[in-house]
Amino acid sequence: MLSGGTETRVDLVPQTPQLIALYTVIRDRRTSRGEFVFYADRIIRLLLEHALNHIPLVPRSVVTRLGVKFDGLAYHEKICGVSIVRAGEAFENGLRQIARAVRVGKILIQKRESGQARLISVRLPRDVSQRWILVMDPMLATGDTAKTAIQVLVKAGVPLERILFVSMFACPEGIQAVLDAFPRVTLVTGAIDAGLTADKFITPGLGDFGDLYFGTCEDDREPSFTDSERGSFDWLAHAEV
Amino acid sequence: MLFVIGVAGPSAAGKSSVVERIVSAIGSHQCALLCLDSFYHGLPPGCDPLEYDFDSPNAFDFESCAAAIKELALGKSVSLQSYDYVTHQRCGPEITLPSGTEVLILEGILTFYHEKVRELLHLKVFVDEDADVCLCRRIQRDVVQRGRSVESVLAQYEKTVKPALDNFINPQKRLADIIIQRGVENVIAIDLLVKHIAVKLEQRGLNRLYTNLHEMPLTGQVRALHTCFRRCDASRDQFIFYVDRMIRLLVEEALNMLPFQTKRVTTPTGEVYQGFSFSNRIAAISVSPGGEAMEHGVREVIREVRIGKVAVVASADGNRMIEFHRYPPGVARRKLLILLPVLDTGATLNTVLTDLARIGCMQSNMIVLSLIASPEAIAAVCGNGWTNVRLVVSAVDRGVNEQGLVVPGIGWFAERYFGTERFELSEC
Repeated sequence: MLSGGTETRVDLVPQTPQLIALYTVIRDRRTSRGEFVFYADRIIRLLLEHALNHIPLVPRSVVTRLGVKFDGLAYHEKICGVSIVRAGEAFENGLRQIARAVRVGKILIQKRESGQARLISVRLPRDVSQRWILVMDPMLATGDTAKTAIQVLVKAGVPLERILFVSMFACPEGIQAVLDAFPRVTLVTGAIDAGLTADKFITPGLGDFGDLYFGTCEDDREPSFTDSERGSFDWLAHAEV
Repeated sequence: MLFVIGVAGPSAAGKSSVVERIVSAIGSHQCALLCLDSFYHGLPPGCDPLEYDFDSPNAFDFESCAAAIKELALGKSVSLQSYDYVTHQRCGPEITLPSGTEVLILEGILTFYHEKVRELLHLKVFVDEDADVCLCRRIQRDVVQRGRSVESVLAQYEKTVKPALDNFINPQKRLADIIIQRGVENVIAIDLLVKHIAVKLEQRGLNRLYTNLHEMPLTGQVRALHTCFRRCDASRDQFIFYVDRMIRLLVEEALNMLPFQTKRVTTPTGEVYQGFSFSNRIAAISVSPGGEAMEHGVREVIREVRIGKVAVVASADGNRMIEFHRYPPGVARRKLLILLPVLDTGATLNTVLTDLARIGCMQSNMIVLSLIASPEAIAAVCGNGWTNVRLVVSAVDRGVNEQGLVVPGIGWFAERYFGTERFELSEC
């Protein structure tokens, strides 16, 4: 389990029945790719909206059309998304939907056979050190990739307090590894699973997110499966149209 | 927000013991007590107290009782003359209920009897006990402590107490939210009640009064989004963008109100995961104009959802009427997401709910989604017979201005979102 003190740096999105139902769809190995992408996108949108709550806002009073003052809050800090290629790129559309002109950096990391992470390429805005960074990677498994990416940002001058690592799935091993190395990073996740399998997949998890989302795997899913043929799947019970 | 608990039940059923137990559990500093007995009408001149019917509803001044509660709900302190059992007039010691009282417990045999008092109660507790147990306690109390004869006690019981019990007191059970049998001995019921009150005390604002109101957690994001689209100088582009973002969050929040079933799935790693499945038979009803702006947000999460439409207009006399409606088939058996971005007075929503109820939709199947609601609208809906319709809102504003618009509000929603206004047919 997690050692003391790390909980405050881990923000698990409230586990509402709605969120769990969304996760149930993408975890189910019978789910088609079309549905997988749709429900993954919905989760991503919720995760990112939740993560933005960590970015400080400033008080701002505005006047409404009725001429009445409304005491609100305003965005103030500059943000930047950084996707961990390739799975993290699945978050980019969701981020654009809530921040249209956001800058999106990319970090490409390759896993060696040994399990070590190797940095391949980095793209970041010049003023990255002035921004709040949303590092986007669906799976926080061993934490090796995450640590490599955070190291890159640290070298680029980003203070650790301004790094939000957003993942769909995390596990205690990965959380521990990242927070041991970078105790002041904030981890936002929608699910903390039991642990890792022998080949370092999160379990029960859902497998390889990038392959499932981008369809780059050979699997037993029906490739020609389209929305109109969806009827045979009982999990889509609300599809009664 | 003052939370008012009414405690009713037969005399000698153990009402005051139950109340004492509640007060000691939640802390007397938060709690004020009021006895309905304090509102007895003075005994008419020349009337024999032994002959007078103290158990009849006519003996109580419910109007003054309601007025005192209303005063207290406004945050004011209330002073009243207590009832003097010797002179049988309201000239006893003065009772003062402090301003800023959080919880008021009103106790008496006929607490839910009168509509004007009943509608001010947020929780109605009926303390019940077998009639023979009540009679035994009454005999003990009146004979031993007050020196009356058994015969006179029984005569009074037959003449006034029993008829009032059958005709006025026991019928109140139908109106109760909770019935506590065996009075103070029922430790579990009292414990549940105390826990419920504690939850209410933690809730802010109107959530405390209306269990069917669900206000979204006020995160920084929610406030910032509201700031972006409420400002008068927001461009239409900005307005639409931020409203759409807020609507998406609102829809996801509202879907949490639907029932879920457990579901086991196998993941690609071969593990079994215990999750939930979505509920079925959902439809949306958008209330025109304005509701259509929310249709896209619903579509984004339930692609194939059926969307019905209802248009409501204000007639010349200010009443709302349905101008047009087209509901999806089987609407009465579906779970309905009613889309209405701004609740000003609540009159429009009231009209829509009435129409849906007319065609057989059940309240428990209706969920209303609104960006902004006024306290008046919430009271008009949640407190006006729609107690099982759930209301999901992202903000509760201050009130309604003389034009009937919520303030600080947003202005005319449809005009801002669609950039259009209603034309008179004569202009066309």
